Formats: sequence, C-alpha cells, structure tokens
Amino acid sequence: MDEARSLRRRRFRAYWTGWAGALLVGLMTLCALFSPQLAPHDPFSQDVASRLRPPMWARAGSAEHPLGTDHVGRDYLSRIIYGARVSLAVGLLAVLCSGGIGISAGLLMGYYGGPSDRVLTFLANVTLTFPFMLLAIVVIALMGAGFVNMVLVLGLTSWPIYARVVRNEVLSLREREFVQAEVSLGSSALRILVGHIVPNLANLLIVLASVEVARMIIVESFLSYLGLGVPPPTPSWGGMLSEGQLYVFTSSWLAMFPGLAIFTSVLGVNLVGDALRDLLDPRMKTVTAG
Amino acid sequence: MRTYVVERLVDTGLTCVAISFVVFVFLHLAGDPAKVLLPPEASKEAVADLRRSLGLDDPFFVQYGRFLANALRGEFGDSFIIRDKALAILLERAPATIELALAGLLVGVALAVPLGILAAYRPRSWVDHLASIVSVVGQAVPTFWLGILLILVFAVWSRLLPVSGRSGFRSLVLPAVCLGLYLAPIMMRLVRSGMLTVLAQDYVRTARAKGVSEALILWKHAFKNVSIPLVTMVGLQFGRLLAGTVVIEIVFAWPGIGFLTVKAVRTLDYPVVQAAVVVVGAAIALVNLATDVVIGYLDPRIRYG
Amino acid sequence: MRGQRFAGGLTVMLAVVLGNPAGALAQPRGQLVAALDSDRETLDPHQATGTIDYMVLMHLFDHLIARNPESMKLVGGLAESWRTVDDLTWEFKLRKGVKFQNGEPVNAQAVKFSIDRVLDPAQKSYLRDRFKGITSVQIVDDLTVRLKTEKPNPVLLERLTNLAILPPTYVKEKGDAFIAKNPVGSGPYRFVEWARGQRLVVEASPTYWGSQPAVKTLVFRPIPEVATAIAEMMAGSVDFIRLVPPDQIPAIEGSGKAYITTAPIIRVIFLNFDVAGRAGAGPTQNIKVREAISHAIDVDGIIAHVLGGRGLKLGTVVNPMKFGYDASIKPVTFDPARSKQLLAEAGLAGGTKLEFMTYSGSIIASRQVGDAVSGYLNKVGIQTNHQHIEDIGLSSNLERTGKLKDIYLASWGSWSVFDADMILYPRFHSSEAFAYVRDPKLDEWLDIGRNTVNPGKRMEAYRQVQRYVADNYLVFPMYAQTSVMAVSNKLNYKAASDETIALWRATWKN
Repeated sequence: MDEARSLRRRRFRAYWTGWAGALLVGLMTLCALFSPQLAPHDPFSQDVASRLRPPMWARAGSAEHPLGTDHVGRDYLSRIIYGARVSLAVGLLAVLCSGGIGISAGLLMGYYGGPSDRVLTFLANVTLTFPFMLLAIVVIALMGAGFVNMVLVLGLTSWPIYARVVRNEVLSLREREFVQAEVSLGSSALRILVGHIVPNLANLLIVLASVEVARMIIVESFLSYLGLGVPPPTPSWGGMLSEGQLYVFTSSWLAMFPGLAIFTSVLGVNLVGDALRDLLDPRMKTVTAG
Repeated sequence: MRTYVVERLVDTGLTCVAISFVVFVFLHLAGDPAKVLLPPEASKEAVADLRRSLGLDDPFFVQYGRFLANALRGEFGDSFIIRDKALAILLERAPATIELALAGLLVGVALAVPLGILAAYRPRSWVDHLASIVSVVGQAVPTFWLGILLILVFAVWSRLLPVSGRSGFRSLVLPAVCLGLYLAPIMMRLVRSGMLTVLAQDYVRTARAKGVSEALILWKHAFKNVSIPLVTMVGLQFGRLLAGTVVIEIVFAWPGIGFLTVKAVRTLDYPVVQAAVVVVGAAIALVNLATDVVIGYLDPRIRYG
Repeated sequence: MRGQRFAGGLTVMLAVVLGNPAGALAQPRGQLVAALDSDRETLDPHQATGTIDYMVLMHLFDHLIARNPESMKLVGGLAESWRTVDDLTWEFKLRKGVKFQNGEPVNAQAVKFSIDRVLDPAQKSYLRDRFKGITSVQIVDDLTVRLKTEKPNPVLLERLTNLAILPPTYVKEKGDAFIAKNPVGSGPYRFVEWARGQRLVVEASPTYWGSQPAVKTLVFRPIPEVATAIAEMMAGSVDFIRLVPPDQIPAIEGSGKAYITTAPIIRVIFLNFDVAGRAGAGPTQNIKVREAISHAIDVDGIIAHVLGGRGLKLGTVVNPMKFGYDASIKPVTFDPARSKQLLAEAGLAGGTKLEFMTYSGSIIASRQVGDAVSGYLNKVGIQTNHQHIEDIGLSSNLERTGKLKDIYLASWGSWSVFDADMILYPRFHSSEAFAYVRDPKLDEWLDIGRNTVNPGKRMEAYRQVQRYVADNYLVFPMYAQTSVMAVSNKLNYKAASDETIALWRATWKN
C-alpha cells in the first residue's frame, strides 16, 4: 500500500518537474533554432554610442533593448538568444561523440570480455584519472580555440562514463535467457548486440545522456569564460559572462543574464533527466534522491 | 590484502605512465617540441641546440623513454617566464590548491551529511523535499557564476570579505564556500541514498523493535554503513578536486595549481603546463590508490570482489 | 655608563632634529598597496623589458638624469650637472655623498660599471640597443665621468633617464641571478621582499639622498583583472590602481573611498599593419587596404564613448608633447563609404578576413577599444579573427619576433622619453625588432634624426618621416592616451604626463 502510494507520488512529482524541465529545454531549443526570428536585433551589430544601456525596467533603459546593451552597444537579449546555439550544439554533439565511442567500447568490453575488456578498462581508468579540466584547457590551447576542437576534447574525454555503465549492463544481460537463445541459434554478435542488448540499454542511456548534456553545457561555458571556446564575436554565454565580469559594479546585468541562461538550461535538462529516470528505470526508484 | 595492494599499485603506476605518454604525444602534436619548449624569441641556433640536446632526431620511443626518465626525476625543464624549475614553481603553488580543496571538501561535507541524513530519516518530509530542491538546483548552477555572485554580495555590496587572492583565513571563506556548494549536492544524494538503503534493512527494523533509541540506530548502524561509500566518494572527489579547483581559482584569483596552469597556457609556458598535467594526474592516481587501499581494508568484500 | 649612553643618544637625537628639522617631522609612515596589471619577471633593471618594469624599479634605483614631474623637463638625478666637451663627448659631475642602500658609494666607478654592464653583449640587456652608440666610459675622478659616443647623440640625455646605476661590488659578489631577486639601488625605496605573483614589498630608504617619501611601505600587487583591483579598492585593501577603464570611473568615484586622477601622457595607441609581410603575405601589404582600414574607424566615437572623452585624436604617432611632432599632419577622416570603395578597388569587394590581435599591455580599456575597432571593420566588410592576449610578456615577444599578422592594436610608451626618435626609430627603422616596415627612405631620414645634433635638421627629417608614413598609411594612428589612475582618499597624488607611477610623490592627507 505504502509502496503504491509512494510510487504514485513519485510519478506525480516526476510529471510536474519533468514538464517544467521540458519547458526550459524547449525554450532553449527554440532560441537556438529560431534565433534570427526571435532576436530583436543583430547580435553582432555594434553601436558605440549606445553602449552599456541598462535593461528596460531601469530608469535609463528602453524597450528597444529589453535586456540592455553590452560594452560595444550590442543588444543583450539578442546575444543571449543566439548564445543558445553554441551551448546546445556543443552539448548535443559532445554527447553524441562521447556516447558513440563509449557505447561501442562498453559493448565490446561487456560482450567479449577478456583482453579487450582489460585494455579498454585500463584506458577508461586512465581517461578518468586525467585532470579533466586541466587537460581540456591544455589541449584547446595547443590546438587552438574553436567549436570543433572543443567538441572533440569534450567528446574524447567523457566516453568512459558511458562505457562503464554499458559494460556492466551488458555483462548481466549476456547471461540472460533470450540472449543465450540467440547465441545457440548462431546469430552473429552484431545482431545480438544491436537487436537485443542495445534496446535494453536505451532507458539507461537516455538518462545518462541527459546528465551528460547538462555537464557539457557547463563545461563549454567555462571554457568560453576562459577564452578557450568559440572565438568572439560569436555570442556564447560563458564568453558573455567573462566580458561582463568587469562591469559587476556599474552594469551588473551583463554578468547576471548569461549566468541565468546557463543555469536555466542546465536545470531544465537535469529536471528532464530526473523525470525520465523516475519513469523509465524501475530499479533506480527506491534508493535515489529526487 | 597484499595482493590487492600490489595489484592496485601496478595499476596506478601504469596509469601514471599512460598520462605522461599522452602529454608527451600532445607536445609533439603541437609542433616542433624544441620550438614549443623555447620562448618565441629564441634564435634559430638556440632551437637547433635544443633539438640536439633533446635528441629530437632519435626514434619516437627513445625520446619518450627519456621524457619519462626525466619526469620521474622531477625534471620538466625550466619555465620560460620565471627562469626557475617548472616542478619547483608547481610545488610552490600546491599548498594553496590543497588548502582550498580541503576547505571546500569540509564545507561540502558539513552541508551534505546532515542534510542527507535528515532527508533519509524523514523521507518525503519537507526536509526531504528541500534536500531534493537543493540538490537539483545546486547541480545546475555554474560554479563560476556562483563565484561571481558571491563576490558581488559578500565582497562588493557588503564589504564583509575580501574579493580575491589568498591572504589569510578570511580570504579562504568565499572560495571554500563556493567549492563546498558545488560538491554538496552530489554528496548529499549519496548520503541520502546510502542511508535509505541501510535504514530499510532488516536488522534496523529488528533494532527498532527491540526498542533501541533512534539516535543510536542512526549513528551506530546506518551512518557507519554509509561511511564506506562516503569515504570512497570523498577520496575520489578529492582527486577530482585537485583539477576541479581550477574554476574556483580563476574566479577568485586563488594562486594555486589551476590558476598557474591557465596562466602558463596563456603565456605558452609549456614546461610548466607539461609538469602540471603530469603531476596532477599522478597525484589523482595516488589519491585513488590510497582511497582504494583504505576501502579494501575497511571492507573485505571489495578486496575479493 | 648608562648616563653616557643616554647623553650620547640625546645628542644624536638633537643632531637629527636640529640638522634636519623638516625631516624629523615628516617621517615616512603607513603602507600603500598598489595594484598593477602584471608581475615583474626580474628585479634587475638592466634586464627589464617593459615600460611598466622600468616604472616600478624606478622606486628602487636612480638614474643619472631625472625628470621634473610638473614641467617634464630633464633635471639632475645622480648627476648634478653635465656638459658637452665636444660633439662626441659628454661629461657628468655626480652628486656628493650619495650611497647605495648597502653602503657602497655612488661614484664614477659605479656609473662606469652600470653602463658597461648594459653594453655587455653577454648580458643581453634590452637596453643595449639604445646605448650601443656609447663607445667608452672614462673615469675622470671619483665624481666625474665622461661618455664618448660613436656619432653625435642628441637623445642621449633623455635616454639616460632609463639607465639605472647599480652597486658594482654587490653585483660582482652576488652574481646576476641573486641580484635579480634581491635588488640594491640608491633610490627612495629599498627592497624588502618579493613573493612572486603575490606582492613586491619595498620600504622607504633612510639613507636616500633626496627628501624622504611620505609613505613608508609600498606593496605592489599584480592583479591582472581590473575588476578585481577595483573591488579590492572599494573594500579598502588596495590604495592605487594604475590603469582604470573609463567605464569604471563612476563606480570608483561613487564608492566614497577613492578618487580619479588623470593626465595626458606620451603613450600613443595605433593600429599597426604588417606592411613588410614579416608574419606572412596578407591584404595589409596593399596600400588601398590600409587606407580603407584607416577610413573605417571612428576614433572620435571611440574616444567619446569608450574612453569617456579621455584621449587626444592624432594624425601621427609622435605625441604632441614630444620634440619632433609635426602638427601639420591631420588625422584621417572617418569615411566608411570610402573604405568600401577602396576595398572594392583592391579587389576585395566581397569582404575579407584579417587577423587582429590586441593585448592588455598599458592600453586603457584595450579589450573594449579592440572590440569597437572590430565592429567598425565588420561594418565595411572586413571580418576579424580577434585574439586578445592577456600576458604582456607573451604579446611583447610575439611583436618583437614579427609574428603578429595583418593588424594589431599597438601602444608605445617610449619609456617616457620625450623625443620623436624614441618612437619613430624603433617602429620604422628596418633594423629594429618592432618595425613591420622595411623602407630605405625611412631608414635614411631616421638615421639623420638620430645622429644629428642640429634641432632644425632633426625636425626636418622627422617631418619627412611622418609625412611619408601618413601618405602611405604605414600605420593608423588613433589617439594619445590619457592616464586614468585611481587613488585612495587617504592619499594625495597626481598623475604625471611621463606615465611614471612615482609613488614617492604620494603624501598622506592627514
């Protein structure tokens, strides 16, 4: 009785938080996909004479620039909207990249075991032991800042997260009857993997991916903050935060809004991920928070 | 126990070697290492000299062997900027990072453990909900934004604490709190889930039935059993912290290893960058090793599992 | 026994008070924390590479010649007087009784040692190029030195303000590596400690030959982020900031803790073109492209809006306060339409992409100015790959080794030397590391300017140079910088036009 009620409550909460999260994610996606239509101005067009205008609710603000302007007179709302493109693109691509590598590796490790497992496990451990942030900074500085390099670095350093999870699942699934049945039928490994094992991993992977997308967005914004992300004048929330830090005393909105944008996007993705986990993965229900 | 430790030692050693290999490869990918290791204004003769002394015309693995041997001796070359041994400069900054990491960990644990225990003890109460909200929200806040906000509120608007830099206990407060707030949500989740598992166990119910006091149950059984995963987590977090403090160090201009590395990267001071990645990587590996040994000691199942 | 000592002490005290009444009342006190944008690499003044190093080390070291902060005229430093014996020989008479902070005397031997050290190729001193015209230093007597130059050297006196005098015995005994971290000079302050990256502490030197500074202890803290420095100033932990972006002036003045002092300085800001193609072939080798860029940027707008009106638009890189300034050269007009036309004529009607580098250096609001310039260029179809380099050491290295492609935002402080030679020669003579131009005509004029003593002839040569540079758009001069410094309300201090920090001039308000 207690169990059923708690399950219902969890579903209920997951329902609401999930939808709230989906709303935030949807907002971010809309901004990224329809930036030209949504943004009131060109985010690159500068007008030195109207620099550092405050948001419209301040005394010196105006509706022409709802969120004010930056230090060279570019409309801030437009830049925030366009900034979603970089965050979303990096987040998704990095996850696709690392997920692709990680899942393949995990499948290999779990299904075949033996030497490939040992080697890949070792590689995974090494990758995880690497001081990730330091490495990202170093590599990007060496290879040059830019969109592609950033996606590569993030993608290549995050694969063990997927690999480990997939490997463990595959190990347990491998012994199950339906898989054994296929093996005895003589089905090829590929067929078994793709046809039977992967679909069972789907739920787990979706949840994992959502957590990772959130993490990638934060890491990207930090790298941009350091000046190692997409080069200016392309708007990116991290870069805008760094440019705005100088103005905390006089024009604090410049540091507020990009941070808020990052926060709401990440929050949205996390909420969606949590809700998905609550709904999709029964085993994780009893013991996890939220 | 001994085989376990030896196994882990070997593993750690191999990991360190692998890290050094990756750093070495990257240095080569970045262009002529002689050019990269010398300041930009070095003359052609200086570059040629260095090529010869580094043996850059030798086969790749011979070069790597030499690099590894040097690294083991702590020889990473001299910083371009500060005409001093790269390793020495790095180690000079180490105490600052360790201080920050420990303080942050302390704040994180101080926030996470009580909240996690309370949340587990009274599931679905307002405390539990608060804990979940804190956890979800806390994990979404970008740390460097939080740092800027903290500076704004506590240092600029209210002049209570120093803005940045390392100058005594007061200057440690904001960075440590920022770091602690970053670590707390994850730790809290772990404490809570661990506690929940334990509290649902039979022997706890038995103890309750026997009339043992709640406090005793909480402490003696539940928390003690959570301590292993907690120690694991703290140990692993500390390792990651050594690199993760970079974020905090940049925002608060805290003169630690992360801050030094970013500066070195910006000034193309490659010997320092090299030293930083290898040394920090090795440190993380060693901390992981220590954690594993401690856990192996505490929980026999892990040794044989 | 004790009575004798007491009497002795009393006598000494009386002697001090009576012998130096003003001094006894104005004992140095208190501490001033100065925020600088960079840390020093070395405390050896002969190894210093930037104007800012020179300005900090000026607190510890003296030079033969100094500058009056109000009139900007040259006055005696360690040299009390000087004269030209003939066209190639200068004689300097040193001040009597001056000692280094370790007790060594400041005499002709010390001067000879210091100059020889700078000229020594093994030292690889950055100053060497400026003084290699000196062929010999003769000790006439303990307080008299003669400098012989290869050719007539009209700028020698100005340059000697940059050459610090070091104690020979100390340097020879301890070696270069030691003195780079433990400097001993004869200046108003002496070295206390240097925690690299954190602070450089100096305190008033009791044996200083001039008047004692009012502030006892100076702490130079490298704080690269100016926002941090300002926050610290508002919290009271920083008393002086050297470079304040005009955007932040309201914050500082509104804090009630500090005020702003400004002065036009001889530092000039300009866009440098890679005319000689040192960093590789590019569009800036085409004069039409350079002209187009020059017309595309609204310098008035930048000065008015980004710098809050603080700056003086220039048509030439020679600052009006310097000898050699040609007032007849007018700044280029702001004409974006003409820019687009010129670009079309150059075959770049579809636009082009240029490398654009900016660095913090001593440029006030360099990031903002750089961004504004980028924006103007974008408007006429020139895309820029804008890289901003924080570290002055790195940017300076890249500049000197000819690695800065296309255009970069340059600044030149001339090491506070008020002569056109100090900017035109290093930036336009083909033998110089900072020159991205190779033109024998310019070389000829510049050599005349450097080696002729007759001011009329020098002026004519410099006029030619400036006209040639302007006609060929070899650089795009933008403005002369106005120094904007923030000072705590506890102190009296005024910024000076030679850009020096000179904190020995600061006094306490109460």
